[in-house]
Amino acid sequence: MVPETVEFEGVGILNQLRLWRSQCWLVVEYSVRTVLLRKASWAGTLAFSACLSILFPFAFGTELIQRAEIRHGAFWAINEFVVALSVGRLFSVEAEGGMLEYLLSVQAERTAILFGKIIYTAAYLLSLQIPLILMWIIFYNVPGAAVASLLGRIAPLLLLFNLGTGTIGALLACVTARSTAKDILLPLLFYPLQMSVLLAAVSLATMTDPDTVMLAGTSEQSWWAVLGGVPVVFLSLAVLLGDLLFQE
Amino acid sequence: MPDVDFQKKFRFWRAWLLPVMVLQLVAWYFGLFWIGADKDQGEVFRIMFVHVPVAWCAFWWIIAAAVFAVIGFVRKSAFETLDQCSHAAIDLGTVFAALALATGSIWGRPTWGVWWDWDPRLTSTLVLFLVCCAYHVLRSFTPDIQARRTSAQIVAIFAAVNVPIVYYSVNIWRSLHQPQTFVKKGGNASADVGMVLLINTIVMLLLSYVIYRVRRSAIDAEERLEAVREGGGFHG
Repeated sequence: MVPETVEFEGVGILNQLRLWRSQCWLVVEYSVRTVLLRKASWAGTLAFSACLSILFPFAFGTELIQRAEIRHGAFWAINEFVVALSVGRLFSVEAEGGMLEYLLSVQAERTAILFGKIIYTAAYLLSLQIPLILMWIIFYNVPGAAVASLLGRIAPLLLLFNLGTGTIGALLACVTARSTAKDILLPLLFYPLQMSVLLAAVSLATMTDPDTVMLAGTSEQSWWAVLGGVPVVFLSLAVLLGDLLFQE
Repeated sequence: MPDVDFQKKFRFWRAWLLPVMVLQLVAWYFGLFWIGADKDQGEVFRIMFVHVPVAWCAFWWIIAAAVFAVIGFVRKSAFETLDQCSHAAIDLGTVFAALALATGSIWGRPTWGVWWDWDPRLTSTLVLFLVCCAYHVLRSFTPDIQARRTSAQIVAIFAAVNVPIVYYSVNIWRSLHQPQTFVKKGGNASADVGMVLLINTIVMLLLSYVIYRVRRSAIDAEERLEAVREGGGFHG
């Protein structure tokens, strides 16, 4: 027969987990609702990515626009600009609504707030990447026969890419929150740490495109390990450092 | 009233700089002049006795910075002291990472034919160096001292996460860079080369430790000065 104290402790832990989950979901919900109510930020970022989709290849010269070699690179480079804008505005919902101090003073688990922001960032990035993919298919002449297989490959890549990016971005947004030059510091810290995620995503996407030259060398398993490992490492750091990151 | 203990420590470690530098010069003599040339690379390979110890020092001090940071978060009573230790360690890690990139580039030019290659080991080391530079920028741009200490120590932990990636990059990805030297017995270096390399590494670590102690005293002095200035007690 299980002692009552053990049963009670087990129920207590379950309740704590439920509370943590509901706090995390609340952060996701209000962030998403705010974006849906005030669409200017999302629309502006989408318009910016559309501009880049059109203008970016001109940097390589007009001869390369038709070539398949820059197709994947252009997609992920434009993705990086979208990521920079999204990560830079991670706490804009709270800052513009005058809720930042409220968020810091509320009695919620800090890790729940952080995880909520990570999930929100990953979802926000995905909402921008879906129209970006459509533009990419049209502007970069992705062959119709290859679209289904490419999309089938890019979809899981984007999910892991967004999770890794969102995790690193959320952690660094908290670290640089009290600095005077956030617009310099955040990209300066973010891009070196996020580079492994980007490299893995680009390499795995390129490997399945029949029109691109196969990269000599690295196995798929290594890249999947990097793409899956980075979110695990940084989510673990988020759990360990959550309370320190959200100091008032 | 000046801190006599602090000044004694600074003078003590500063006095050790010259003897340890002489020891380093002796160790370099063995590597750069005494040992025979490599049968494949000729005399060029001698830069290995500078490049490898410098790279090891970079790894060591960046990991040490993260260890100090973690201990600082656990032992709140020693938070300020451990932040100074972490700061000094990252300073050394940054300098040694830059030296590793520079010496590696000098070695790469005659052996690979290029100053730089987007090789996994080189690229990951460059990323590590950039994160260390970002640490210093973060410290400069965070006015509140407590927020500065907390943020900087978190970034030191992030920097240390990159060290295993740099170290194992030659195993994970195909690389122009040679694999680890001391991992396999009789693998990548003969016994005499291995011995001289080991001696150079130990002496370089010793030299870096003395520099670390001097640098830590300097950081302590800078923070005391900053505190006096903010308190309005300093009259230039």
